[in-house]
Amino acid sequence: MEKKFYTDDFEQFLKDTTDDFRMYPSKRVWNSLYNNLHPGRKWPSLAVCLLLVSSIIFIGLSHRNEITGSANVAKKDVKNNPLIAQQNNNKITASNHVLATETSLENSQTQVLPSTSVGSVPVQVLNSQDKNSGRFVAVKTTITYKNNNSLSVKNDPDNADNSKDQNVGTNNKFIRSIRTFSAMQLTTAVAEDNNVIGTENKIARHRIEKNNTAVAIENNPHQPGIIEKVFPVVILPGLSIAKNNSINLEKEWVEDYAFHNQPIPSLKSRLQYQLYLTPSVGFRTLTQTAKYNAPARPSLVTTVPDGQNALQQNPGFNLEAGYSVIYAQSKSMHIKGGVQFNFTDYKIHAHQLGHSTYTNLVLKDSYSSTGAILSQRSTSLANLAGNGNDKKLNSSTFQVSLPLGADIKFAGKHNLQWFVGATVQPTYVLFGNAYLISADSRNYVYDSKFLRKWNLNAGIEAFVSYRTKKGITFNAGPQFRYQFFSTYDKKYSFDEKLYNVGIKLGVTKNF
Amino acid sequence: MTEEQMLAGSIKNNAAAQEALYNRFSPRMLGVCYRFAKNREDAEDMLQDGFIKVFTQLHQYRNEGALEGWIRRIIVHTCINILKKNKKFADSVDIIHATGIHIKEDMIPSIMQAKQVVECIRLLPLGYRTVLNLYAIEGYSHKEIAKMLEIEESTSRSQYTRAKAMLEDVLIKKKIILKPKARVSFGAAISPL
Repeated sequence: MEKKFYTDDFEQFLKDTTDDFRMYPSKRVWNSLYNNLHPGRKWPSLAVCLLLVSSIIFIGLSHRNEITGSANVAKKDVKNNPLIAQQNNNKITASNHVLATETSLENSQTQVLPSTSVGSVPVQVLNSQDKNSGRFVAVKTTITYKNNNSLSVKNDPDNADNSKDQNVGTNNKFIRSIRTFSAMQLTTAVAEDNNVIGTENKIARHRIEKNNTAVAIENNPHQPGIIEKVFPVVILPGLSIAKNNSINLEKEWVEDYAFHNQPIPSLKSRLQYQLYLTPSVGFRTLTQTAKYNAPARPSLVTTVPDGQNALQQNPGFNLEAGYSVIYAQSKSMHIKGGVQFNFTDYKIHAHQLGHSTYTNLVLKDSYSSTGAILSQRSTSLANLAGNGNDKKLNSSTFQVSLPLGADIKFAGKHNLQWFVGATVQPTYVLFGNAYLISADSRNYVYDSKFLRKWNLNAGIEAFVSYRTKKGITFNAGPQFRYQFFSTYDKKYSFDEKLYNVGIKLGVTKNF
Repeated sequence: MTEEQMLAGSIKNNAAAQEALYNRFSPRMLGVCYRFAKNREDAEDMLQDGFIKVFTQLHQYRNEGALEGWIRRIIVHTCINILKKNKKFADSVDIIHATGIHIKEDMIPSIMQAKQVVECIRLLPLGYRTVLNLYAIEGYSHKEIAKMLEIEESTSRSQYTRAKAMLEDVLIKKKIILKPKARVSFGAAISPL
């Protein structure tokens, strides 16, 4: 700027002066420009969002299916097991307490061959499974006991009860074998299809009903404890079952059932919500990432040593408040996510000048040979490095974040438990104050446009959890929160990382 | 990345090249927009619209003259087009109303640097400022300005004369420029262009 200038060169003066003038656009401009130029490239962010949402839905549904599926198995088992049904106050009733599957067995009949007579009896057994529908269907079969202790089996396709499935009754292969399970002192006539009933090893349980009819229960070989089929058996004469043995087998079955079919809590009972508040003390770290050898500039403040060590600041009061939904993955592992509002603050010691002065900010510039350029600013805030700092500047931000994390129990039982937890917190800065230190550390420049909008924080915490008799849980414990990216735009030559230490207080309740 | 690489990449719609080109020229172009705009936000909107045109018309650039000059012309035209959509602008640039306009002393920034000169320009009424920007800084002739702003050429001249006088007065008051001997103060007759 030359003051010895004559207005005859007015246009040239204006042109020369204003040609040097530069302003740095905010990130918003490039982002909007990019979206305009590459509308199709929004998909990465959309894809990430969709992936996240899909994952959450998938996890939710898969857990729901697991619970629902288990419940179905339990219901089916209860339905198949009149004993269990009885124990459950007969809420589920079977039309025939001997055989009860959901579809084809309702009309099935199993009869005991007279123990002293020789003859034949029609038996309707499960002996076929439709490959498409997976349903078991019944076919009328006649089993004949003869004098020579042999059995003959005859399928009766003509009399097949195929009203429920037209595929039934086309040939005689449905009854393939008669097997004796000597270990159980029970001989069963098992009607089986090649793809349905396997070897006798699959027959895990049997039970004698009150009316002396019998059923055999086949377990799923891949899922112990899950009943795959229930089908009728015929007790052969001369092979009576000891009563005690029957009782023991039944007891064993019930115990096994109970072991493998423990009640699973519903999704709702696993979900909790939490309201929390975290008063804390906020600090910062400041690192210079680019330097510029600035020429000496006239300044009203001349006694300030260079370097960030000369900066003075005080910790400030910070506050977080949020709402979380907590999913109890297990008794010792909780997954949580929610929304949180943050207020961060620390105080800078400065001196209010009675007039404006000019100063420079160092900005990164990859096109500059030094990697940095100076940006001239006007300010009335000085840094006197402890000498006469009469003004405290609140460097504060208001943020909203989406914490996602987990808590793990490491001690405690019943009502009193100890947890450690961690969260990652994508954070959006709504607004705030930014006081930027000048190149020579002698001034502060207020420019909130340098605040980075998106940031990432992480929090770690340990807390005590106390559950009252009313089901309300109180949590309290220390928390440490750290900001991963600089508070300021990447063009600014200083990186500031905020961190705070506080006490998190929360109230948790089931939905 | 060299200017040729940025240019070639941007024509091929390469995002990295476009960003490099944008980073290279956007600070100076925002300075241009800022002289025309009401505030920084409006200037950024102008810059954004201007660069969209730059990137979509970049294939028309024939390496005749500096790339920066070509971009600058597009940015200036974008600024003018945006201003013309504003009804107040049309009124302010078409009516000669030099009398009664006065820039108060406390409106003038205390320290004069490039930014302060720009801020002084921005103190001018919108019509004055636009013509002054186009004529004195961007180098357009009054004929071109008249065509761009859809005004009479004589109007452009008179607007500029008044704008120049007003700005000189401000700059002299701040002792950025010295008072010429032939000229006494703001509002005095100025030699014709």
